[in-house]
Amino acid sequence: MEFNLNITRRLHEEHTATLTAWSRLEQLLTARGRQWPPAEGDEIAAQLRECAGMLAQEVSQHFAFEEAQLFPRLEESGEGDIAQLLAEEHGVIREAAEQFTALQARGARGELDDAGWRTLKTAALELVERLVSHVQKEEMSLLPALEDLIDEETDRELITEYSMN
Amino acid sequence: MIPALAGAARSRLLPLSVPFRYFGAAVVFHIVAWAVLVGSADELTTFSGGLGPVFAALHLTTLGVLVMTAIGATLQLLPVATRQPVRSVRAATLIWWLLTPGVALFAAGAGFHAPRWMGPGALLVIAALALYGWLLAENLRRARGMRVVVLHGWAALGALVLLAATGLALVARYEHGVALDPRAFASAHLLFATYGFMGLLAIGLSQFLLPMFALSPAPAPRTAKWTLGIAVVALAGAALDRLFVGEAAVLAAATGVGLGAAIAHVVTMERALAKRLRPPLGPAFLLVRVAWGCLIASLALALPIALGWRADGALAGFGVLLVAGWLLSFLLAVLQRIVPFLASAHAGGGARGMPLISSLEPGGSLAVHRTLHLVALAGLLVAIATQTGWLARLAAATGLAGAVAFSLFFTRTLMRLRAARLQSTTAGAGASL
Repeated sequence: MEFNLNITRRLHEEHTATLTAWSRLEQLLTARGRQWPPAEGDEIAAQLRECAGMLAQEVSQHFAFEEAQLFPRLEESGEGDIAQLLAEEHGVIREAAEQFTALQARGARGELDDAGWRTLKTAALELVERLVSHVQKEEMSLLPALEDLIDEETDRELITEYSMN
Repeated sequence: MIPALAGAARSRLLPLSVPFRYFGAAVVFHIVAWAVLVGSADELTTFSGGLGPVFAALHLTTLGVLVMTAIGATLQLLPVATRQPVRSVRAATLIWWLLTPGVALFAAGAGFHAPRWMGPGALLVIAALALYGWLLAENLRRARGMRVVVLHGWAALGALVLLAATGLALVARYEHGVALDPRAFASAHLLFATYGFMGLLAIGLSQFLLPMFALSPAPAPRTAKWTLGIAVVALAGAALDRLFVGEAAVLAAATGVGLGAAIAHVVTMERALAKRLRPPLGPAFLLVRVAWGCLIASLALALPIALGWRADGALAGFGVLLVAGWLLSFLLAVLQRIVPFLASAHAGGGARGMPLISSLEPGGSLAVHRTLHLVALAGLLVAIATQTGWLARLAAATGLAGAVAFSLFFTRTLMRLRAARLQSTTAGAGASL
């Protein structure tokens, strides 16, 4: 789907980047013959690091912006239940993300035992599924709705605010 | 979280009970359709029309499974594409109350050679389709997004009106002896129902639904509009020929044009899917690809049939490819993706309560269904090609087992949803203490 506003295009680009990184991680984690736990310098270790870094951006900025600026607009337009559903998913993803990033950091420091590594793998695969499902919903419902709700001037204000954070 | 059942929907997210009642009825009719076919498999290999159990099984599939699923899916998904809520949730519910007994009565009348039951059944179905047509038209009229999907919706709606008109005319002939050419009307009715209403709706929803599942870009709107235009020309040409002309060359030309449109659709969809962000497509796409193959194969087989080729079972083989191969496989594939997706969206829950889609999706039942469905499909085609009654019965029994497996998937998803909701409620109550 093509988006015409700066803010929807920006959010769509971030979704694409997130999905690309996490899909790559999923591929690596589910590939046959891959060593687990990964050795230091292994591609999986690098991908885990990249995804953990991405989560910090995704959770702290993307989610916060949507919750503060976009969901209230969705609610005002009569789409309160969709806004509530997306906000609930943010909560679940935040919690799963905290667990994942903590485990990834411990793994990188060599502090995880076998059980810890297994938990990290499960947490990563759970996050992939939650992120994919969440992005699908936002691409289907949030971004198209914003295209109707936001005029050019508001779009300029929103993209400026988002870019400055 | 979910608004109460109200006269008019404010949000585009309908109460779960609305789409799921259609999916539930489709699951039941799916089992009944295969069961009826098991009992009439000998007749299937030579079927070329007329009342009886094969006719009943055909309509249990088309009206009971395909139309039922299409209505449930479009009521929830079309508003997402058009950015317009359903005009009336009460009407959306009423359609189910008209359609479900209507299909049962109509199929029973057809199966037991009792046209007096078919009339009331057909009237209930027509009333349901008229109400659905109004909801669909209202949604399309106010649509703001996805022009390609909207255009497919209008084309499907036009076909719906024509399929209802030709169907009613055929029932009037059976019940009251109205003078008309039953073969011509039956052919036109089949065209409007399968390639028209169901086919165009399936192709239209594919434009945004399959890219969403695959996380790929949608096909280029310009190509999709051209493909739709060509498909509509083919459909109109074939229907006009059946009703007014009756020339083999005209029908064959229309079929050839339709085949071109089908190939163009599949190629554009595959090109879009090739650009997906997430490599695994999931097992449902196996059924989607089989469905696309059957769509093309049905039109390829229709070409020699249009030119007068009448090998034993040619028409029955065409029907199996078209109805069970293309439409049924496609809709079951879509259903197995959207049922857990919608269940997850409605499961609710605070932070820890919201279940993963995969936790709501009983994959084992789906794998069994997929295998049995494909074996049944292949078995029916071989049975028809070799005119082997026992093989047709075995294939239908396999299809029946597949339908039961699919019903287990649906039932287990509902049970898991219920458990997730209970867990969510308990967690919420615990948190508020």
